[in-house]
Amino acid sequence: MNDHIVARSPLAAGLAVLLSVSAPALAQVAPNLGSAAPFAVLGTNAIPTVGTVTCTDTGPGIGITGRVGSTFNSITNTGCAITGPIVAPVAASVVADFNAAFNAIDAQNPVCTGVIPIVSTVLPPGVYCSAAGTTIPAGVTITLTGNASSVWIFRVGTGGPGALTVNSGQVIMGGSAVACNVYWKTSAAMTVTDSASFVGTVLSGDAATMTRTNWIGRMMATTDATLTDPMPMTFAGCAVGPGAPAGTPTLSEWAMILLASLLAMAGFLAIRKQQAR
Amino acid sequence: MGAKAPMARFLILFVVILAALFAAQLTRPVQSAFVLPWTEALARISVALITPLDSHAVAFGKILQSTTNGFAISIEAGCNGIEAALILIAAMLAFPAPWKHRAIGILAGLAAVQALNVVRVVSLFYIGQWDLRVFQWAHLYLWQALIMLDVLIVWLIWIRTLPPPPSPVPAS
Repeated sequence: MNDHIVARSPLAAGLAVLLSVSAPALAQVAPNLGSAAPFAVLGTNAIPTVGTVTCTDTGPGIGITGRVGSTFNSITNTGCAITGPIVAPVAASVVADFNAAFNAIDAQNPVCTGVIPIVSTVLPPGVYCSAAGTTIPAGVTITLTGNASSVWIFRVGTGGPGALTVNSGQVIMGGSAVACNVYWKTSAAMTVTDSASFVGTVLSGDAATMTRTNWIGRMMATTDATLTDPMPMTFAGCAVGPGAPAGTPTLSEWAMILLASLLAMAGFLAIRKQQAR
Repeated sequence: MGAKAPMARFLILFVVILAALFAAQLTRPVQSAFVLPWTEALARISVALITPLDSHAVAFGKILQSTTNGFAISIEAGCNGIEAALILIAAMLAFPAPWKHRAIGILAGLAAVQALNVVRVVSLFYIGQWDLRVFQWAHLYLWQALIMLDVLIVWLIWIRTLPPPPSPVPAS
């Protein structure tokens, strides 16, 4: 009988842990890109032309790592090293999934938790907005600090057409956060130039243009995607979850302490019971 | 005082062995020889289990990825169930028991923890493709609790299967 008592107490404690934990409400929701998700660069001009996806390397560029897709039947590549498949034209479902994600992201993240900063800032996960365009100027570094599950949503132009311009500014990851969980939605064009670090998936409401930028993420445009000297443009899969460097482990530190305590308690009680015999 | 000695011995040994095992698994040789290869093997095992039902899953290194939508999970150090197994191993080594029972318990415990961790990885892979919010909840809360319960149940079953300790020899 005592065996059962010994057995049940830690088990009950374990069950209590299971029942006592509750998930916090997560304010920000990453868009579901569906079949568009594997693309590092995607140009989806409704009237596709030779410029729907253009990559030009004038010399200093490093290239693109990842899948490149265009609604036109080819991309324009002048000297860019592209490591990954080129899909041209992409299937209609890819465009449809991208458009669905683009259109849904505002409704999925209706509450803005802050304004997109234009000075150097450390930003926790959240939804950040600007009513009009946003320019992140030279010398500014925005650090997105969180864990592997942290998500950032940036909505540019919530009050009308708004472009995102990054001119020598930087957006970097902090902690164990991953670039894959960063999303920029712009209601107008997106341009990043001479940035030593830019992160995240851009869903541009117009053209997307990058020049001499080290970008980890995805560049997706409702019209043309243009890259000049990518330094590089990299997307090698969306590594999140049980994983992501130093991400949430099988057991958190506190869970390990609790588990060790439960085992110690059960062992302690079992030894005491043995001695009582 | 004498009656408390075995309990104190267990607790002290448990803490010491646990600290030693955790310290050892953080060293570079152990990481490169065991932890990382096992972590990569977990991704391959997961894909091997998935492939008969879903040919759109691939593993490269420690990453498990869907070729359909690009969603991927990366099994990092700490996500491989090794820490949970080490806690169980430390407890079994510290507890007064015959070595044969310790060996059986450790093997069974390793199998139980790692089997459930594979289920965890595969489930998270699909939950993440379905809904990231559910993924985060399952990852952060549900699976931690399940892994803890798994270890706890193995531990309690093992304790119950141990033979009674030898009776003390009466003084002549």
